[in-house]
Amino acid sequence: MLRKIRILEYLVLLLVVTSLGYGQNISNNWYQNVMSRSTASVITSNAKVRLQDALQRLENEYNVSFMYKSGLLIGYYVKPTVQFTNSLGEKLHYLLDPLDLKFYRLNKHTVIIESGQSIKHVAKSRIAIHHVNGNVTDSKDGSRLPGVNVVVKGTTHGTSTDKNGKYDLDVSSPLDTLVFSYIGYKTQEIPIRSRKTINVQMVSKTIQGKEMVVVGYKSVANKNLADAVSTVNVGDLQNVPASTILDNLAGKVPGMQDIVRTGLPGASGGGLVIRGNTNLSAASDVSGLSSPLYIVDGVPMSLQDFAGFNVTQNDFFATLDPNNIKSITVLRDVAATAIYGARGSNGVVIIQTKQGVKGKTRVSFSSKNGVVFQPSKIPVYIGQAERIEKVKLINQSLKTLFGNQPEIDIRNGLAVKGYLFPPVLTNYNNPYYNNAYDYQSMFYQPGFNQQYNLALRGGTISNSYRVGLGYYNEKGILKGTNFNRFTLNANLTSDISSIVHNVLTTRLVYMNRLGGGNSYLKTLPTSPTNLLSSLYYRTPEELSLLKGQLGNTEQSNKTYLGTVSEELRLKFSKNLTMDNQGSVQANFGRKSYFVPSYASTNGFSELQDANNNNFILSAHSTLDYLKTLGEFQIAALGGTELNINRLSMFQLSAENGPSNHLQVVQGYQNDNITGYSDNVVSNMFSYFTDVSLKFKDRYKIEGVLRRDGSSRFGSNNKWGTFPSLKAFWIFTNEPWMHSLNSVLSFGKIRVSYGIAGQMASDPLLQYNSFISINNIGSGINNIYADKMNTTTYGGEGAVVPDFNKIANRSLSWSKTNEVDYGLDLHLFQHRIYISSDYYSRYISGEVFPSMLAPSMGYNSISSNLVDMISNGWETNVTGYLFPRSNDFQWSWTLNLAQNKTVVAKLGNGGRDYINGDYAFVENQPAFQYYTYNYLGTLQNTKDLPVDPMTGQYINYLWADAGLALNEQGKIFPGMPLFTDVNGDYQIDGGDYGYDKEIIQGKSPQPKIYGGLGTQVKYKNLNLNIHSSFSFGSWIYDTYLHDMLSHYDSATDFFTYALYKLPNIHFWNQRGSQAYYPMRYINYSGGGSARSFRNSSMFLERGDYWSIDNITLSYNLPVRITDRIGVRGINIYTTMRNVYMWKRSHVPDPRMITKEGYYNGQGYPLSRSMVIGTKINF
Amino acid sequence: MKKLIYLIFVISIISGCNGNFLSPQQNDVVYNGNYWKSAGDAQKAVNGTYALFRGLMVNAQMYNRGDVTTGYFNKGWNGGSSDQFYLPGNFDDATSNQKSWGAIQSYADWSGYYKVVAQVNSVIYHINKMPDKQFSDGQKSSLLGQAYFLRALTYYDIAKIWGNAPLTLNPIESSKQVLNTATNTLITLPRSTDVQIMEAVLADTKKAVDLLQFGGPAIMANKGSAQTLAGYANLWMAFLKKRDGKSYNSYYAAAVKALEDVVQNGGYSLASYSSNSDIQNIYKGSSPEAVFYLNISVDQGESYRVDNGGIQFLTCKVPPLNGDPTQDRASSINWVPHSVKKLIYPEYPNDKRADLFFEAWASTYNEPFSDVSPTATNRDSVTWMTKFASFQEDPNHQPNEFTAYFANSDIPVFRYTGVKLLLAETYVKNNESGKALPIINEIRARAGLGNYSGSDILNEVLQEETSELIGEGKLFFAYIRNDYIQNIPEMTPNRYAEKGYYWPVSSNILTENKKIKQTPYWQGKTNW
Repeated sequence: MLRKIRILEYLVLLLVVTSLGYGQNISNNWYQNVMSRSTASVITSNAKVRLQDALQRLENEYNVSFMYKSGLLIGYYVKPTVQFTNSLGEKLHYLLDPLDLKFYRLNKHTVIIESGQSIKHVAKSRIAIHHVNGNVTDSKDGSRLPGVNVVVKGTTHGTSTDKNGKYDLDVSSPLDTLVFSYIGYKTQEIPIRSRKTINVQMVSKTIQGKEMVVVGYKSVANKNLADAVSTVNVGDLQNVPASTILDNLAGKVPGMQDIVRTGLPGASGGGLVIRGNTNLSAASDVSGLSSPLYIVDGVPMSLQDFAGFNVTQNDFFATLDPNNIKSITVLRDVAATAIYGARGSNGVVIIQTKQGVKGKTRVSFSSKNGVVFQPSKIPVYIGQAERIEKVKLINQSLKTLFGNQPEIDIRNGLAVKGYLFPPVLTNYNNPYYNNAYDYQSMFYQPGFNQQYNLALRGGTISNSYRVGLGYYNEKGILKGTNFNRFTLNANLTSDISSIVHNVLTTRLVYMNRLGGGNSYLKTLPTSPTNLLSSLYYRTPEELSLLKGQLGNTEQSNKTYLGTVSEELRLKFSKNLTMDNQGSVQANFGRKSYFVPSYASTNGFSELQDANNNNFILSAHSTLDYLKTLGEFQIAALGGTELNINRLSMFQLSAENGPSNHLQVVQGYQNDNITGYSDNVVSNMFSYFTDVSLKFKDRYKIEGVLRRDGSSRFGSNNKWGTFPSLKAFWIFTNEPWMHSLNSVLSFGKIRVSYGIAGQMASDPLLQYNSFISINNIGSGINNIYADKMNTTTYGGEGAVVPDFNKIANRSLSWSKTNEVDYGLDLHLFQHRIYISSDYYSRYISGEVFPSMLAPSMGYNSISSNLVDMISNGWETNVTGYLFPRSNDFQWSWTLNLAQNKTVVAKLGNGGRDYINGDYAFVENQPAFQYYTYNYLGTLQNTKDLPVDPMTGQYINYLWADAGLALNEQGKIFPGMPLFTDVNGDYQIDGGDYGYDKEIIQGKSPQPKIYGGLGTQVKYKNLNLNIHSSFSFGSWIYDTYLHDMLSHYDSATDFFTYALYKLPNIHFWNQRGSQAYYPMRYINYSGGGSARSFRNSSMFLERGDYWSIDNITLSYNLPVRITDRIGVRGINIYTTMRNVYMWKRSHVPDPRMITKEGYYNGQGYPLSRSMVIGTKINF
Repeated sequence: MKKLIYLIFVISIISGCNGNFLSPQQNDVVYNGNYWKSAGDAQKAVNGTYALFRGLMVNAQMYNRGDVTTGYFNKGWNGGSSDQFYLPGNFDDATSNQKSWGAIQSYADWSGYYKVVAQVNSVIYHINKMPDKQFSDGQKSSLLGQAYFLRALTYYDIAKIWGNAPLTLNPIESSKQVLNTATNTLITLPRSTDVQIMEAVLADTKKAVDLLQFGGPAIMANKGSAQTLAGYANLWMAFLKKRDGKSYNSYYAAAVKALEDVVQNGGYSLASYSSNSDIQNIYKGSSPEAVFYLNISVDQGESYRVDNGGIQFLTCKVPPLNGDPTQDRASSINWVPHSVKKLIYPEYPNDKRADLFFEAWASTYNEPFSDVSPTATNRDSVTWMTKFASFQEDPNHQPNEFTAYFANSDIPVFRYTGVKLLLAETYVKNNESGKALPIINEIRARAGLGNYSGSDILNEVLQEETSELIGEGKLFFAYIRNDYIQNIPEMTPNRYAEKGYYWPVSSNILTENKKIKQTPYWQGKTNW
């Protein structure tokens, strides 16, 4: 309790100090001159004022700029100007003459002030022989930039742009070079070359990749980094129409994979993985990924922790509006993440929202509207075509098996014509069988999305603010799906004094998602690969369900997210800074759905209501010391951090509802209501230090040490230490390299080593625990619903231990040791950028369960057991084909990564670990397929091996087909062969589990993956194409498997749709080289030699190359925007998911679980197109 | 000044982060750290032990091990217990194809028994540690006594079934007891000998006897339960000692003492045998014969469906599903063929137990009846056991569901008739045959039979145990104890001498615990 108060006090104090700061120093003075050192105050009539202040007042009054050498005016005070003198010249003479200062007017808006002695130099530069003018605009949105400094290179002679971004300047020579500079933009040098008009587009520094990046509690210039750090080009994300940025991060950062699991707008399931997945849990959603630590405006959060406490299943990434994001920084190597300690080993993604910019208030507005295209329908036989095709297939397969007596009933050997055909194929005229529903056209619809953003920003010299408002809406391509998001980002930056600086950031998000029912994976009313036969009659209710009627009933998944982040910086001296940040994130989720009686299976309404309240409280203080001693620069940082997570949720479900009008849990019988709640607390306390030593401009060595204490770990192991050491050498700064600078402009070698950790996602693993017993009744049989849920003995409460948990007081985080070698090169005067990393990681002690000896009573214990090795390389190449100052620009960016992660040590008593359909094997990648190994089809019975004991051909085990014909389990030509793993001369005839094996050499891990993008720019026109790719993985085609499995059961064959599969070739006669076995409809139905069971038959190469999006944008010319009266207009159009090359049959090989299974049935990623406008006022 | 304030803040946060911050109380999990605070906690944990033991016994464990193995029952045409129970011979060819045959191998797996052991070890450890003032008068002794009883009972079962087996009396409180964290290797236990286990059983039983009082509901252990167990355990120990050529007579004396205590002070009495419902009422906790039963009660929501499991499924004709005669699945129950009936009730038709305990005892069928041609067999003439045919329709039955039936018959661990017969057996062994005869005659009289006139009293005791206790999980062990193998051709003298009455251990045990080898008799005889 005491501690809680302390934390509260800490935050309250931060807030109080901050709010005090806002009271002061707010004025409207926005003017900024690069050479003036003005401060804001009012000239009073009696007192003396500083000369600078007096001049500033004149600047405002007459709309001119004064230019003077720095230091020139210091110490001068003047009396207030005489009121009756009206001309600027008179006033200046009055002020300056007594001080022996001269002035002259350079042009309409610029006045130069010089000391009397240097008047000769002034006179020389006054001889203007060439006049230049032009417009300066922002390259991103074409808006006019006022206040840009334009100076003749090598002189102090210059001007600045006016409020419309215009400048005009007299220069002494047409061969001079103009230097354009502006805060936040890259300085450009442009030779005049006798031109009269030079229009300039200023390029924001954030696009050039030379910005400061936030790494480990501090900002570091890119060139001073010794880590593998990448930044995402946020600008690219803004134009793409997507509910979540997750969809657009593929291929944007080398070594980062985005696992997309659903296209349902706003729904969670996917996540990012950096340098390969190392999470071994069985979960295939986000909780089963080795997700990085996310730090959004200083709030650190782990998606795994939240997975069980997010009742809405709304996506974390959907809360981030790309229009409000300033930067996304990805820390890949452990040396960079070691400062995040026990949560850093999966990488760290730092997301910062936009901050205020000093200057006049500016408004920008953007909108985009577009369509989402319906996915292409799977071709299906419908109506009479289905009937004809099914009859044809049955006749064909029996003929292949038994020759020309296809009417034989293989169950009893009797020849009965027509026996094989169910009424649905023969009873043409019965209205129950005579239908032709096209189900796919019932549940798809054209989607639509729209997004509007409004941002205001500005401020005084000491205060700046930014407020961003956003709205996003997407009507899904599936009836009944919809997603809405409102975002508000507000930032207030205050320099309260020369010591105290304050940043307050708040972020509010509201999201509402419709559709998806209980699970984001069960979005569609029926899976498109498991469509029902078009022939059977469906009631109007069933049809309306398929048309998405459920989507129109009361249901919602709402997220309310609020983040407040308060950052107080105390700059005690030039050398010593203290940063304090306190942040709170509150995430409230509410899921509710109501199924009315007409839509439920039993005719009664049912509903569910669930809430979650999750709080993350995080505070840290760092002390930052910087000292330059000759050619040495020492930087030291020390800090403490506190993290508190409070996760809670509850849900209530009720069935057999009283009325369709009661859509809350009221009036239900107690027996029909079930509930569940959970509440977990985890705390963490850490301290850390980071010391670096830089020598000259090219050598740096840096060491980091962090200690973490976490409540999640056993009492024997509360604290962990995470060190890292890194160094770089900029060899191009060596004097002996200078001669090569025209080719090799910049070169840096980085080496780093570090240890970081990863906590297991279950915060309660360290506890043993008691549960209510429930072991009679349900265990005995569950073939029918069993109503007795026994938790008592003799009518009284009883508890038993949870035999899967033993108090593990030594439980700890897994440790990742990593060495990273990096090379950064800039070639040909910064025309080609190359950044490459090679790394080798050893992850030890991943938490994994061991099976205990049965005499222990307990089943298993989770301990730090499994080790993994991960090696790989990443490279990023960016090339500019033309000089960077040309009007025509063409650049390419390639991200390429290779990662191989294998299980190094499994524990498990030296045995392979098999779980369901996957296996872990030492020295192999995790998640090997464990299934039947398909060997191909049988061409000739004589090819079959013979059992030496019986002299019989190998046959199918437990396949009853052919029983009556004395051919039980016989393998006919055209039937599939699988490996007889147990050597009993019987191939498992169904899915009984006897002949499964680990499929060698086919891992779901891609061998190489990345992205390729290109940008073409001519004056105001900009074309941007981004693609992503992956090669070398083997994926399991559940899509095809679903469709083919209907051939394995006669009932399924009749009751499910028949798909047209033009590219799938089945064995149909001896000698056929088709990959897929024959379809022996009805024969397999009598028995169970299921050809199209889960097997390696459906393993396919997962290679793809996808053109993810193409954006064409145009900045309207200044003459047009001038006429309208705005600073700039940018219009663009983007197409998303444009084209994909792939080697598998699945519709979208990007939607693959970490185990390699295609998972696009829930909701596909769709193609969409928008047209957007951005206006800057 | 400001610097100072912030410095103070940082320091206060650091100092605030003591151990408590990093070990917060969790309220969504019940763990040793927050449990064991009240008598109620202790009671619930003891209840949990009963429930765990019941969960173990509920799937006809006792019947399958103790009765099906006697060879008196035949498997139904359409199913029943696993084949190997009926003729407990080799375990290497259960079916021709299946590499591992779950059901029978699961009976070779002792993990369920060790779950009870793990729980009860923890219960004993923690209740002993709890301060006496937490409990009302005698409550702590009672709870502890019940726990010792349950541990003794579980180990007695383990010793009967597997002989040599791991023996642990320590609670598992920490991962260090199962995992060597330095080497990441699992800690496993070797087998102790059957005699060592029985010594532990006798020690626990003695503690239970000392701690418990007579009285109380039969679904909780009392002094009567403990003394009965003492009787059974001493007889089993005597059997082991005798087998090993050690002295054993003292165990007979101890057994006599314990069982006489039950008969004289327990307040139990024999129930009358007049109708089928009388018989079924014997297996309810309220019966005067109930010494220690495991609670099964539909009213208390502690029951299970009889359609597909449990002793009812194996022995009783359950009403056909939905009242639909074509869904009559009676063809899968165990039935008694005509050829062995004289071994069970040699004096039939005078012995009325045959008709009270069984349906259609007079039937002469020797072959199972078939589902395939229902008309070929008169199903009403098949002999099945009705002792446990007590079940109720699903109280929550929904109109659109199949009608489910729930068991309403306790699982009898110790019944007074068994206690009396055991006492008779002990008297004979303790050379007090004269005291045995009145007991035998009392039992015979109730069954409608005259006084015993023969000379082999031990044989008659075992005959009465057979007639009375059939279906209650006692017979196989009584036969082994007495080397009285009357209908198990597989139990050859050689096998008996090689301790082939013990079960093999499952592949699960062998793979997870390298210190355990297959039971000697079964080496090479199982395919796991």
